[in-house]
Amino acid sequence: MSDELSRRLEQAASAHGRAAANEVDVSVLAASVVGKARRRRRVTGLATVAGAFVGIAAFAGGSFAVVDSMRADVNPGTHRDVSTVDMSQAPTAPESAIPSPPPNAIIAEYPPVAASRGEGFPEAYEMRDWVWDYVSEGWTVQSYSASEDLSVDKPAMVPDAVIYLVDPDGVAFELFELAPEHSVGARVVSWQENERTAHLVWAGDSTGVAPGGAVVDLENGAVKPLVFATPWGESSTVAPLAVSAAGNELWEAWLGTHQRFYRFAEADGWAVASINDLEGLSDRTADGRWDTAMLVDDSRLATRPDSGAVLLEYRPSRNGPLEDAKVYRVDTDTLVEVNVGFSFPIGPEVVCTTAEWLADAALTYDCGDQQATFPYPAFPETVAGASYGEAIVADSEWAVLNTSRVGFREATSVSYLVSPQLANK
Amino acid sequence: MAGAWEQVATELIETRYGALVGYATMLTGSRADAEDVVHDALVAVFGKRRNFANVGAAEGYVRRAIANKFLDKARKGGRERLAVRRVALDSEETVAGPESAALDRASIDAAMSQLTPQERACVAVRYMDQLSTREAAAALGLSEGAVKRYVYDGLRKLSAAMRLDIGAADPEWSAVSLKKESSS
Repeated sequence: MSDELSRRLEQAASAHGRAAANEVDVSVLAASVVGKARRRRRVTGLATVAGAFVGIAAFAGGSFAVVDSMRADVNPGTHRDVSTVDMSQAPTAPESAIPSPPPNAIIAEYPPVAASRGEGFPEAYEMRDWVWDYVSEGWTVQSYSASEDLSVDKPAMVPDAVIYLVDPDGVAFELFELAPEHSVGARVVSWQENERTAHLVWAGDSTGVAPGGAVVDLENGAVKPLVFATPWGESSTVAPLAVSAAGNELWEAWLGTHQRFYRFAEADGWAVASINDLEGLSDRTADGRWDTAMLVDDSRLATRPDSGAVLLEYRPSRNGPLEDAKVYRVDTDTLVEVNVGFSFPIGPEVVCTTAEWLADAALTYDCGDQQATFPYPAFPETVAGASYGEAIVADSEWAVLNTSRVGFREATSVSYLVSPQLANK
Repeated sequence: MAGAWEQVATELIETRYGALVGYATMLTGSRADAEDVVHDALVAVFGKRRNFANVGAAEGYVRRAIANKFLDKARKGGRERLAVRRVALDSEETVAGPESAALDRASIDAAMSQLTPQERACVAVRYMDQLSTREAAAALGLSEGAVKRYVYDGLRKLSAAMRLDIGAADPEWSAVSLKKESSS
C-alpha cells in the first residue's frame, strides 16, 4: 500500500539522516551556506541595479518587494474559502494629457523606442498611459519568457520575461519585466480589460521556485500571487482550466491530495465554483469519485476548444468504467448532463477515454478499438481560443523559449502541459 | 544583525539537515552525493531574494530544489558520482538500531537503486513529500503523464524488490497504464 511505502521510505531516509547529522557540525555548515547565499544575493542585486541603470530592468528590483508584500495579503490567517485578491487598491490611470481617442483610432505619434531586449524579444515602444485609451478589439497582451531555470546563469542583460501590450498591427509597447521567480514558463492566461490586470502562470524550477499563478497589474507590474484558502489550508499550486470569451474563468487549487475549484468573473471576482459539490471531486485518494477528464493521450485536460466548458467524469475507481459525465459551463457556473450510454458491450478490461469534443454538442470516447459518441444539451459556442504558450524554436542560446498572447475579449485555449522546453528537458 | 532569511536558513540547517540529507540519499543512493546536492540546493534556495515565513516553508522549497538538482545532474549525464550505489553495503553509513530496522532500510535502499533517476525523483516527491501528480509535475518540470509513468514504473520495481503490494491498489497511476495499453 502507498502508506506503507511512504512509511518505509521515511524510515530509511531518517536512518540516513541521523547518520549524517551526527557527523557534521551543522553550525559550521549553516555559516558556510548563509555566507554563500549572501554573496549570491548581492550579485543578483547588483545585476538588477545594473539592468535598471540601462533602462532594461526598471521594474525587476521593485517586483521582489511587491511579491513579498502581496503574498501576505493573500495568505489569510484564517481559512476563508476564496483568495483575498483585492484589486480596489490598484492605482487608477493617471489623467492623460491627450484626449481619449475614438475606438479603433490609429496612433499618430509613437513614444520613444524601448531599449532592445535581445534575440527573440519584439522591438517595442516605451509604454505611455495614453496608449491605454486606444486599446480595443484586436489588441493583445503578450508574454515573452527566456527563463528556463533560475539556476542557469545567463547574461545579466537578457531579461527573464517581459509583458507587452500589442496593437492590431503588431506594434508592441513594453509594459514591464517580470521578476525572475515569476518568469520560468511565464504565460498570460487572461486579460481583464476593464481593470487593466491580467492573470498569469509560471512553472517551477530547480532552484525551488514553486509554480503558481498571479494577478498582475498591467499598469505598474505589481504581482499578487493567487493563493486560495481552501478548507484544508492555503493552496500550494493553482492552474487555470478554462477562460471563456466572456471573461469567465475556472481555476483549480491544489493542496496535497486535495483539489478545489474556483471561478473568476470580472464583474464578481473570485468565488467557489459549483462543481466542488460533486462527490469525491476534492479528494484525489477517494476510490469512486468525480474528476476532471483528460484527453485520450493523457496530456491535456478535456477543456472544450472554445474554453467555455470543462468535462467531468465519474468512475467507481481510477481504472474503472465511465459511469457518468457532466459538462461544466464556465459562463453560467452550471452543470449539464452528458447522456452516457454505450451501444456496444464494454469489457472489464477496456478503459474508455475522452477523445474529442464535437462541434454539434457531443463527445467521443475511445473504448479499445471502438468509439462511442455521447450528446449533451447544446449551449452557444463562443469564439476560437487564442493561442497559448506557443513555443518558438530558436538557435540562439538565450533566445525566447515561450510566448503567449491573450486578445481583447478573446477566450484562451488552456493547456496543462508545462512549457515544451521544460517537459523535454 | 542577521536578516530573517538568514535566521530561517540557520535554523533549517541546524534542525533539519539530517532529514534533508536523508531525503537526498534516497534519491542519490550515496550520502556523499546527497550532502553535495543538499548543499547546492540550500545555497540556490537561500541565494535568491526570497523570504520564508518559517522553517517549514523553507524546507518545502529546499526539498523540491534537492529533487530538481538531483534530476538536473542525472539529465546532464556524465555525472558518474551520482550513479546509484547500493548504500546498504556501504559500511560508513551503517547506523545503530534494531536489526530489523537496518534490514528494512537496506532492502529499501537496494530497491530504490533499481529505479532510474526520474523514477526515484517522482516516487520521492509523491510518497515522501506527498505532492499530487500535478504538483510533482510542476515541481520537477515534467508533464503529468511523464510523472505518472515514472511513478508507475518505479512502484512496480519497488513492489517486486520489496515484495510489497504497492502497485495495484494505488488509484493515481494504475489507470494510466491501462489507458496507455488500451490506446496503443
